[in-house]
Amino acid sequence: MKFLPLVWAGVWRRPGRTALTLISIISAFVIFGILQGFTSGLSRLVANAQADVLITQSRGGPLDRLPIADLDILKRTPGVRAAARTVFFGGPFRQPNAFLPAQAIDPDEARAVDDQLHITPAQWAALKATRSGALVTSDHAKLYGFKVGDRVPLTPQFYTNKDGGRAFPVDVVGIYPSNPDDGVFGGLVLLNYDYIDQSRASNAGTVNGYLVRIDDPLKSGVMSVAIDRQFANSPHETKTYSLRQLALASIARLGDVGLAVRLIAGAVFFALLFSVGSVMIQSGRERTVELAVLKTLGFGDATVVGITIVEAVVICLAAAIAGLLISTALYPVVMKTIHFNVKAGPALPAGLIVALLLALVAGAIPAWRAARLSIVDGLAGR
Amino acid sequence: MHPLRQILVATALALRTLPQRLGPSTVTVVGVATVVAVMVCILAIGQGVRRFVDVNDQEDRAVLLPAGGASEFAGAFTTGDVAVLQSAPGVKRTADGRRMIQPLAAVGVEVIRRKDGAPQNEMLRGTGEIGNLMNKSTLHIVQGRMFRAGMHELVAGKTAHDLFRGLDVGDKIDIRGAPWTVVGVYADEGGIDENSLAGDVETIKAAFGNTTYQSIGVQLASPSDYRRFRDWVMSNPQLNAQVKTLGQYYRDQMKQLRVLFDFVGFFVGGVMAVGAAAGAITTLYAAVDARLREIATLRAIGFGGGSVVASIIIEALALAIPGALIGVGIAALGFNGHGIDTAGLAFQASVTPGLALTGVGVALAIGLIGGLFPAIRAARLPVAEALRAS
Repeated sequence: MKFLPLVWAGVWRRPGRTALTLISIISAFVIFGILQGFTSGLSRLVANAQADVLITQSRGGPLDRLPIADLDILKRTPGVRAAARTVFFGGPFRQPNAFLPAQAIDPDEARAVDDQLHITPAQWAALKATRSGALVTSDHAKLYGFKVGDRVPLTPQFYTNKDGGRAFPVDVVGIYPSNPDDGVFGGLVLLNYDYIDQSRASNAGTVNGYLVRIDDPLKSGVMSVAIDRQFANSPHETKTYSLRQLALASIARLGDVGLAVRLIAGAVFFALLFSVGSVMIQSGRERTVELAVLKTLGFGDATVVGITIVEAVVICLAAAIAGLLISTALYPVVMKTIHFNVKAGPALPAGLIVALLLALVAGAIPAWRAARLSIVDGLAGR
Repeated sequence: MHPLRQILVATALALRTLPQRLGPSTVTVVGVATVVAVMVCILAIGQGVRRFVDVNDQEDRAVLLPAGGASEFAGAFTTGDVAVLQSAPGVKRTADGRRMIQPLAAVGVEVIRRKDGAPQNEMLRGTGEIGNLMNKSTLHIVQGRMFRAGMHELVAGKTAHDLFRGLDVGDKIDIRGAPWTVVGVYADEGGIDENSLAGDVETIKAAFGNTTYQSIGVQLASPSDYRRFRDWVMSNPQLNAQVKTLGQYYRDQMKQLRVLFDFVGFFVGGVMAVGAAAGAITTLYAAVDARLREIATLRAIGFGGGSVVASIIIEALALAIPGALIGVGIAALGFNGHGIDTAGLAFQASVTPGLALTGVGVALAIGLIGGLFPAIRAARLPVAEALRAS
């Protein structure tokens, strides 16, 4: 502790250079923080996926359709607690590029399947009571200024209205808190299936898929197979996944992007190590005389090495923390720009470890030199 | 001395002493090279997406999509719609006089990735004789033969064939409970269509129990007919459709992916460039410090501040340019043509001359900023004091 003033003096010996070094390291950690936030956000996506909820879709993919008659078969399948129909009803909203996600559901079914929804019984009742009702998330309410009682024209991507128009007017009957961790219905406008099914011009009596809640989350694999077997060799074969499997698959779809993220982070730190290392060596060289004086005064080799290393650690840690803070602030903006809906995971612990390693590696050569410095040579400035 | 000559002499002096500062100078070169390499590589992915769409762009091809719907999966065109379209202007005719209008089907088919065995949905496009005529100039069967009408047969794009299992000629795929045989593999000049499968539209429609077509492809007599054709369709109350050129449709589909890589490239590149510039400033400050006496001497014998500034900036650029070349070189040799497999699509990264120029530009900017501050410091140096520097 008593050497702290010495370290501090060393850090600010050349304030201009320290500032520049800080900028270099901060910029690297801004990138690191965002990449790390992205990858740990992806793993969070998997961890939060409800293990006891399966999704049954057509073998032809999520945009294909299944008949509504499948619902009864699913509900009667042993081991199934509840099943809920879903129809994708999202589409451009107000502007051609703004997408408002929506699904047509049956309130009682949805409630039974998704226990992470923060929708009050009164709101469910309001949706049931109003045929053209809609429950919207607090995020969408804030974004578009929705209020209870508003009449909102939805323009779904895949459907036109029977009346010949593109719009489906719905009435906002409730606003529920957004829950990005809820992969089932967490961020959607929820609508009554009956109203949608009777107003759409095509595909009446079909759904895009079913959400199935099972009794035992450990049996999700067996249950998926059992469900698909019931529809095998029918014109509408199904493919059932658990939500966790689906989250894993969506990460697998990113494919080479994960590799790219790691390569970028690697390249950034490679360059950084070079530049920070060279600054440290340079500053060590300039301070040969000072270090020799310290040794003359009786400071041991270990202490001199310690001071040199701690200096590097102080600079790297300070810059890493600043960089990670900046990246945390930038993260939502970045994800919005690239239309990627992943919430940041923790980047701080990994970042601090990397910063520490960086400091140790970059400080190693000057520290080694400081330890080997002979007093006579050092004082002579050689 | 003439100012230009002064700059020349001062620069020669600075560059001649460069080997003495080999370590720090190498660091600057490596830093710049890394920034350029990373940035060019990421942008090359975006360029790959662009190229993949543009490589076989034909301006005389149009596609009818559902009004407001973004994708060719979303449409519901009836045979009646196709009949209405027969009287549209600007449509090319085949040799035997038929109008080149091809209703298309688009359905998803589950395939298994070779790499990790993960199931994925690929597009099976239903087309027909006229559709095949439209594709004739770019699309070629490289293995096996074309599918036949009325049969459960399909052909696979080259990329799809490479990426997924069970798409070799002779393999059978289960679609809606019936086996379909892969009878051929096609290439399409490396374009986006190589990612999908194709079969006979009526057979696919029947197999999936669809009563409608998902989109309609049209071959125009010439690119200049596009506007006339589009306006006719859009103003026809019988058709609820939007019209795009085929290239525009694909560009819109790929926009998000392209924006993603462009943004990431410029963002990561930009932040790294800030770091590299800070590193370059540090290095060149040190270079100025080491040459204090030399610079002061130049000033004392009458060299102007401007020539000293210029010499240091030129030194900075002399470090940045090799860095840029190394960076672009690494990207071009190591990454150009590298296969990228993401978001269910496979394409090749493409390092274009434009990207190389962008990389060099960024490097020059780093060099300029890196050199400017140390140069100003050197020029402002009080001569008498600096001459006494140790």
